[in-house]
Amino acid sequence: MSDQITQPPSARADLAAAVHALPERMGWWFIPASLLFWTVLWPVGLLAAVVWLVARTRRLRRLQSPVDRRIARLLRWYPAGWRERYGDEFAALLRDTIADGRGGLCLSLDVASGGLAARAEDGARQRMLAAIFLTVGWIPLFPQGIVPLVMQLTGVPARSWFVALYLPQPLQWLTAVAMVALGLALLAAGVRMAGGLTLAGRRAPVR
Amino acid sequence: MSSEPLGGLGRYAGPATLILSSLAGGSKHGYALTRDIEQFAGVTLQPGTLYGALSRLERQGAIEALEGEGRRRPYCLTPSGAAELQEHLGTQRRVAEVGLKRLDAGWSAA
Repeated sequence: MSDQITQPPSARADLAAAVHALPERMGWWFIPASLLFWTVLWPVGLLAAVVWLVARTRRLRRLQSPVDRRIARLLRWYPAGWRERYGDEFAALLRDTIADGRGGLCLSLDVASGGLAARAEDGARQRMLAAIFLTVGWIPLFPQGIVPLVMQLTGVPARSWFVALYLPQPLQWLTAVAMVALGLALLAAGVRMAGGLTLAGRRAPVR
Repeated sequence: MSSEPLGGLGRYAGPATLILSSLAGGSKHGYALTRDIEQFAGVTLQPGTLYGALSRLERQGAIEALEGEGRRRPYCLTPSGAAELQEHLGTQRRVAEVGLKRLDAGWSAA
C-alpha cells in the first residue's frame, strides 16, 4: 500500500531543479550576472552609500549651530548653479526668518517646493536628461520593442536577450508594444527638452 | 520679454506683482521685501516663494541686483520692470472696476 503512494518531491529537489533549469529559461548569462550583482555590485553599492552618508553627516556636524545645519540642508534642495548665485543671500533670509520664529514646517515645505521648481528649470539638468532620454530611448524602441514584434510576426524561435519573449505568450505582444511606447515616449521627451533648450538659447539676450 | 505683462511667471505671477509693487517704493533686500509686503498687502511670502519669483524677475530683466550689504543683496526695479508693473496694475484696476460696478448693480440690494 505504502509503495503505491508517490512521495511529493522535496523542496530541496524543487530548488535544485529550478536552479538547473535557470540557464535554459533565462539565458546563459543569468547565473554569472546574478553572482556579480549579489557578490560585488550590491555590497559595493551599499558600502558606497554608507560612506557617503557618514561623510555628509560629518561635514554637516562641522558647521557650528543647529540653525546652520538646517540652512545647509534646506539649501541642498536647490541646484548648484542657483546656490552659487543666490545661496548667500538666501541663507541670510532663511536665518532672519528662523530668528523671527517662522521656521516651522511651512518654511521647509516652501523651500523644498522652490528648490524642486528651480531644479526642473535648471538648464544643465535638462541637457543631461535630454541626453539620457535620447540615448536610452532607442533600447526599448528597437531591440526590446520593434525587433521582438518582427520576430513574433516571422516566427523566429530565438529569444536571445529580448525580455518580451521570455514572458507567457499573451504578454509577449503586450510587452513588446509597451516597450515601443516607452521608447517613443523617452525619445519624444528628449527631443522636446533639447528643442526647448535650443529655442531658449536663441531667445536669450546677448549680454 | 513677454508681450503679456508678467507673462511666463506662472504661479509666481502673484508674488511677482507684490515684489514689483514693493520695489516701486525703492530698493530692498529679501527680508525687507518680506516685511514691506506684509505691511501693505497682509501677505507673508515664504523665502522659497520670494526667491523663486525674484530669480525669474531678474532673468526677465524686470529687476536687477545692487551691490550687497554684507550677505544681503538689495534689488531694484528696472525701467522695463516698471513699465510691466504699470501695464499689469492697469489691467487689474480695470478688472476691479468692472467687478465692483457689477457687484454694486446686482448685489447691493442682497
